[in-house]
Amino acid sequence: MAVYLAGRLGQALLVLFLAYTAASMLLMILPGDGVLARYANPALGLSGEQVEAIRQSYGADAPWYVQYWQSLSGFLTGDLGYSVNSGAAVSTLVASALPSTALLAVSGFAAAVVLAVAVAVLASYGKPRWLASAFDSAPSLFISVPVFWLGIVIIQVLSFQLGWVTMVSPGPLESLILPTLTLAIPLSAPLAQILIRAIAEVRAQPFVHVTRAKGAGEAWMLVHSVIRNAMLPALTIAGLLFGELVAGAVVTETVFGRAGIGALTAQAVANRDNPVLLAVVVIATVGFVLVNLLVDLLYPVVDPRLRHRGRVGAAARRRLGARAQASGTGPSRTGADRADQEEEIRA
Amino acid sequence: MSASTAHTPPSAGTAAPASGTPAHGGARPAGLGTRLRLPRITTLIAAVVLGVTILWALVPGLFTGHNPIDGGETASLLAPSAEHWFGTDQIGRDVYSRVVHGASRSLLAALIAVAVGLVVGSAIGLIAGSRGGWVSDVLMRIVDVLLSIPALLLTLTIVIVLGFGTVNAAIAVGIAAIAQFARLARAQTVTIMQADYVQAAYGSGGTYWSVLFRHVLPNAVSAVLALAVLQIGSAILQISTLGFLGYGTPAPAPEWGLIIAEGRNFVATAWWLTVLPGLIVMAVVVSTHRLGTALREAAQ
Repeated sequence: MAVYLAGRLGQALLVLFLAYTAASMLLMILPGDGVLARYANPALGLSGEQVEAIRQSYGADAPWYVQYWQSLSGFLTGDLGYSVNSGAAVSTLVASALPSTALLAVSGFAAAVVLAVAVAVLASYGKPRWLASAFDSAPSLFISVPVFWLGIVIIQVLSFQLGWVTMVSPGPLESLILPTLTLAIPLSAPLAQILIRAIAEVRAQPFVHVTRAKGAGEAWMLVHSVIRNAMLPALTIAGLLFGELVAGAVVTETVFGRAGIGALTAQAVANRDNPVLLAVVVIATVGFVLVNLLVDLLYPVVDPRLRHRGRVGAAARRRLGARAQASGTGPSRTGADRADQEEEIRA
Repeated sequence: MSASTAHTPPSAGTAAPASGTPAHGGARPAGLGTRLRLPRITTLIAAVVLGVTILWALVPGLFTGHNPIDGGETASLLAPSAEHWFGTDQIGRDVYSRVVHGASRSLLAALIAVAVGLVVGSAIGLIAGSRGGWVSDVLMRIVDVLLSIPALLLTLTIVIVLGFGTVNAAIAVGIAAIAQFARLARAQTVTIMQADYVQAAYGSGGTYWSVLFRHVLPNAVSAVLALAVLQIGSAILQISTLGFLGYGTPAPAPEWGLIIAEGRNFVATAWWLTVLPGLIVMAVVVSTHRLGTALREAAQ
């Protein structure tokens, strides 16, 4: 176990390092001198010496490997560089934007879980049958909605038409409602798909009849069997959900004009503020790699079958990955999963 | 997705739906697929929707006589009518015409994106799956890195490097899709390389490349192509998102994300400018998903 842990941790660190290198090559080294491009603009009226001084103060006159090394050691110590656009420290920008986005992400995720459970239960038990079928196809609609469009429509209907939520100087809680809803709908789709499958799977099991004969109600079955069945596939798509949260935050914050990491990202791209974008990419990648690492470590905790890393576990896990893919939610993104796939194929 | 079409014929549901690596799908409980497989009629509707969209892209003049870029003397912000199906925008342009003319740009961009992901990803997967050793390790580490950066951020990073525009946005979306194709192609290749006929091909004097192109590639291609069709839908979504954020096609050219972005300022008074184009995008994306799923089931 300790060897596995160390190996998995090392793998995560290597991927992080490579991702950082790739992102900094693309955003810092490859574009050349962003400082020169910005301050050599004749409209600013700076002399050659002044531009040179600015370049020196940013460290832009050093060779690329020195810059790479400085930025890498800066990132490791929490110094994320300076925004080319505003001159503010990127770490300050990120720190002030993070709480609002974290709040939105948490509330969006919670709403997505509630929504997914509601859709799955209605799709499995809804009466009449057409209602159940309608909810059954809801997830595939939810993942096909352009999120920016959904946000605009939600503003139009809930705020302008029905007047339930005001868009004009709302309170902190009120301003959270519509963005949360916008974020939750696409996020709930893969979760609902997993739950619908888990419910169908449990209902097809022979033990259900026995349990029911012993007097268990449908609700008892749901709580006791479905959650256990849905847990593993839900873990498998955790990384995917994190990616959706990040993308959703960028779009949602732009549509609703909320301050946060997403809005910061959109501004950075619009202004070609590469240091800010680099910081966001690196932070999001750290989060993503951490989530996947955690998921890998949680697998054996959640499912006893996976505690022995033998064939049975590998087969079970591969099936889970395959299932996530089959539902159109993309493959599971864990390194161990891939190793297992290979292992099983060779066996 | 209409409710009246939702009764699944029992015969249609017996096949288990797609597993990610179709060549060795494990045994699954029979009947589980029943709920998941929508009836054929939805596939038919999806095909019709896509067919019309492709015709929009190829011959937009057949569907609308209005100029998508210049509204001329037309009044602005007209409500939908027989003359202007989706109404007119703030400078009097016919929105339906913009959506029809925008189809070619949005579909072409999606095709470029999927082509980039398909070609590069399959090449990586084929080589990694057939070579093994350090080649495979290096290639799959690259795939790991591509997977470790959240897709939208990876796309934005590449867009900022390449610059804004339709083709650049499409390439960026395609690069973000490489990893998925590479993983699928590699899984397929590893399976196929174990097959007896590959051993036989080597035994009868085949070289690495001849075996790769004559035996491995043709057998891996159907699963990869099915993924490609599925990916077209998400590529359309991602490209319209980039267009909405202002990183894709520059105005005044019609592009679906841009059309919705332009309409959003008038959403309180002229909701149709945003809602109707969005519904079209959604219908097209749902249809490609539906067809992609049907193709993948057929490929098994």
